[in-house]
Amino acid sequence: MRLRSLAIAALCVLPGALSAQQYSPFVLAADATTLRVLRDVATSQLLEGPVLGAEAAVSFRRLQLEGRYVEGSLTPGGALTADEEKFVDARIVARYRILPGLALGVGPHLRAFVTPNGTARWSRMEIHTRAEGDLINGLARVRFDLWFAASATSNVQGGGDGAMGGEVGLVMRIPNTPTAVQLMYTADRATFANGGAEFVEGVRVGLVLDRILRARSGSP
Amino acid sequence: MSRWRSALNQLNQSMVGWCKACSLILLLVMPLRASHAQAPTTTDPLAAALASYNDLEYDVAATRFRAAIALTGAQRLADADRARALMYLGATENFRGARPSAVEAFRSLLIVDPRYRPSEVVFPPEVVALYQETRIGIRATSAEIQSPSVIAIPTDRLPIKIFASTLHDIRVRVTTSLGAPERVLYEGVIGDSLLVSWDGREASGAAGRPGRYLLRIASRNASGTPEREVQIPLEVEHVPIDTLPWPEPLNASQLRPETVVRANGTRQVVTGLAGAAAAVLLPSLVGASDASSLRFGVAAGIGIAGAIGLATATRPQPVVENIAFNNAKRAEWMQESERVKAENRTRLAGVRLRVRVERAVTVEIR
Repeated sequence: MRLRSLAIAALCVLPGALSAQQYSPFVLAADATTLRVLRDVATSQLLEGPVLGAEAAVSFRRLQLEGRYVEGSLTPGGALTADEEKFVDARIVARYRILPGLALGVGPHLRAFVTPNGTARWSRMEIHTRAEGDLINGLARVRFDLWFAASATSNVQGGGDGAMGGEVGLVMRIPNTPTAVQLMYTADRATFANGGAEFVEGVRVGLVLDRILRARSGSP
Repeated sequence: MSRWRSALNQLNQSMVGWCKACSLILLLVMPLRASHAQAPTTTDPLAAALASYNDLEYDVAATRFRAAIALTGAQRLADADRARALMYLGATENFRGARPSAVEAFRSLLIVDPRYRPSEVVFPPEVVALYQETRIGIRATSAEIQSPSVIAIPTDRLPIKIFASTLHDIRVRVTTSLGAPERVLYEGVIGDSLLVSWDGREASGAAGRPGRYLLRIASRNASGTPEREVQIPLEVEHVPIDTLPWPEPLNASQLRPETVVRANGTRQVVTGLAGAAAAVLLPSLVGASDASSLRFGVAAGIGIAGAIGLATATRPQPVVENIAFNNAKRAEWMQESERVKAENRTRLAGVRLRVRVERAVTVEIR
């Protein structure tokens, strides 16, 4: 509870440190994530592996619609065994910027673990908060996303009980280009109705094609 | 008319007789008064002549008018007085019955001042008629030029207003004692007056050189032969060219600062710390207890970026509006400099002449 208060405080601090900026009309991104899934159900289970993702966003004034798709194979403990699982994750978020650097959003999130024995599915309706702050004027920004599931359903472990997650990292502009590189740490944890939990974390490196770092004043 | 003239002659002769008698008495009886009466002749050569004319002593008047006209040096009559004296001399000769002398006086008058017109109130119609008759036959000119005048070549011209006694052909030219070809300004008919101008150039098109030029206005008869010429010496000198000064260089007070230190870095420190803390604490925030150390790499990245941000925040940042303002000022200054440069180039390419006009001389061409 104390940590959640800290998170809210951080969300308040970041936008306060922002200069005025606006969304780019179009954003395209591709990334690779080193994903790690830790299940704590009947027994503990660790799955690891790289996943690839793509992201696109369109914006109009304060509104932004973002879609993201990630897919990859995970192996237990990172080793190449026959028990690998296919990881598929898709999410759509509609955001509204309430302050410069602070946006609220909502959208569905679907996730599936495909195994030879069957597919474990999650479907959630999530509420997002995103804060951004300038670190190096016009060159680097810190981004902090925090979300929680307003509703979460699952076809395994008695159904979903709840979920919360977040993402924090850097977006660094490559000077004199419309591109940026992002380095994000992402983590979310979902709980099942039967008491189990599933924790997914990863470090994502991506290339963004956008102008989102172009501030209204002063940025080269 | 002849009756009026004979009556006038009779009156004149009787008045002359009376005057002679009175003068003799006055000379014998009142020598002091007589000497006093002659006093004006020493100060105003015309006064005595006019007095004689008014006293109808035409012989004396004619002599005195001629004497006044013949004065030279410091006592020389001004042009206006000279014209007046010639007019009265012509009238006097006319009254004396010496018509050729009257015509000669009027001719001399027209050469001095072709625009002269006798007053019909002062002079009787026969005198005025004789004058007009003479004027029609005399081709004479005069000119008016402002002195000194400055001509900026190639933009300015020296206006020359020419007056004529009667309708005739003239030829106006500028010659130089340096042997340059003459520059013809006008050749054609003049009625009452004519305005010509000189652009300060010689016949070759070159700007006039310092020295003495002669403006020559030749009056020609019906067959085109020059009869007389008015010669007006023009003393020409070059006026030093005055160029425009360069615009004052822009100083610091006219320009705005182009860079400014926008922040002291607090914002970057706070943002970096908050971002790094969020990365470290995110697993705990979502309720996970066994997260990997992957997040520390991201937190370190955010921390390093924050440190770089702190270092760069205190560096002067460009102020786009001020840079644009200063650039506009500099462009304005450059534009003014170019204008001055072009103006000075034009001025230096041109020549300014100061022209002093000297007394005109009329030369009879035989």
